[in-house]
Amino acid sequence: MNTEQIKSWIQQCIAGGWETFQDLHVDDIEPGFVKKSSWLQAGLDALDVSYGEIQSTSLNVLLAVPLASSMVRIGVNFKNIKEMEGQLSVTPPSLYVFDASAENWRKSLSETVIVQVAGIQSRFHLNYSEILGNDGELVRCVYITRHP
Amino acid sequence: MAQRHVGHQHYELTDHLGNVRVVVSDMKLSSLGVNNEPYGFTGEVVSRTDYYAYGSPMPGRSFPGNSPYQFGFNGMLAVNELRGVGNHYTAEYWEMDARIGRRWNRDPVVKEWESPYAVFSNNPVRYVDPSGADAQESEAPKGWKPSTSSTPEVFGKAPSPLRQATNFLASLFKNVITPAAILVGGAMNAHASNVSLGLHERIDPVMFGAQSNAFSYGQTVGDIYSLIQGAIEFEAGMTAIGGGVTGGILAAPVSVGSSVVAGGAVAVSGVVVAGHGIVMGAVATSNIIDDISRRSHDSVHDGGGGGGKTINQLNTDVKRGVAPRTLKRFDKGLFKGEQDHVHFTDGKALNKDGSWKHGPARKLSNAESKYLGENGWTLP
Repeated sequence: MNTEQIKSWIQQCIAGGWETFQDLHVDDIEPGFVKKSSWLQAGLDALDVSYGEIQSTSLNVLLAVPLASSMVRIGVNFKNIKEMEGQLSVTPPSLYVFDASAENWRKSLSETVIVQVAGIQSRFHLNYSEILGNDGELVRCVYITRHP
Repeated sequence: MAQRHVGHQHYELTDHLGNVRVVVSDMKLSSLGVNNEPYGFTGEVVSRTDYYAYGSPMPGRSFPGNSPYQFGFNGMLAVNELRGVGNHYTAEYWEMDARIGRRWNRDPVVKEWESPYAVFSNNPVRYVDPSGADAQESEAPKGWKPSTSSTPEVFGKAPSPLRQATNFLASLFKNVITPAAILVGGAMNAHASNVSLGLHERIDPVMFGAQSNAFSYGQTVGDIYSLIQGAIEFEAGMTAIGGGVTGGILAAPVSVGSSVVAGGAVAVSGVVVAGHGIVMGAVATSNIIDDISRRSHDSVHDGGGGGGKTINQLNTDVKRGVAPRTLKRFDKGLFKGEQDHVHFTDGKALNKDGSWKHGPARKLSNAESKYLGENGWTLP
């Protein structure tokens, strides 16, 4: 895991980048994370590293996992990590630094449902979002944050 | 010294469903005549394919049979090693058996009325599904028009004069007469609704499906006509009010009876006409503003007015090499306020409004500008 790159990205976000949604995709952290099968585990590991870096600030960090979009409502159709992996879109998961009290983030995070996913729910908190995108498709995404 | 290698560049000729029917190369073929002078130039046809309904190639109507072009039905990638030539396709969301028209995996888009293994909504003539995500109405490729005069020789012999005339009439009805009739219908509907001050129902253009734009523009024409008529009514009404009042006053000293009553009646009718005119004009103006606002909103949701491709379709272009090779991936905005954006292979990312998400800013190449501009992206 290229922790230096994560630290550098965190510093950029703290300097104001979080307001313009400066994210960090997992495939940009390590060349080995290009494979889709590695995305989720790499994302969770990167979330752990970045969580340690952000704790001294008032900001928080989450892992956004985009799922395959749809023209009709699908809802939560996975129960474990394996099933969730089968739903991944072409976009690798990415880390976002956010301020939960900021208007955009507050709205985004409030329009979600809590998801129980076997295997990782003991360490992480998962929320599922399904919102109408600009291109008319429903954007499906799981936001993962770390338990304190 | 510059060298040009020919024969490696391939061009796909597709039909209205995006099926690759013919592939030609940039090689120019000729025969040699007297004194070895070339003559009879033709293009090199690399492959030609006719398909059964769900995409498997028709035996005897496709060539070459043993090493065909790798992209075929709906432009999808054929996996010839698996089930034989052209019998199996792969795309982002499915593995599809073209012989039986069924997918291997369950459809991620659940439809209560349809088998999860169905493809193209069981209607491969009408719908396309190049990614396997969901069936959608086919769109004619840019520059593609229904043939009304002749069919390229490569598809067979030219149609008969009777067929040509039928095609022409069908095209005329589809592209000119039907939209014109719907536009007039829209104008009449809007005007009738405005004249009745809303008592007559104003029909939602969505009811007209693909022709909704024609109906909507017709309604705007009707609204403008109503606005003009409202202004004329208002002016006529005001004239009547003035005439009635003046007539009544002039008649009063001479005869206090019927002339005054007549003058009063004219004035009252003037008030009614002017009132109707001004209210109708206001209703028409409000409708015009609503129409403009709705079109502007639709345009934004179509991707900024320049093109209607979804992010998934743009990613399919990237995967197939249709988009410039410097484009890595298109991503959807995942949070309120985050825009859809495109990632470049150099690590930069551009938001749809032309601002840089991951900089520093750089100049786009001509190919990048052209592709993004055509697909509704604001250029930086």
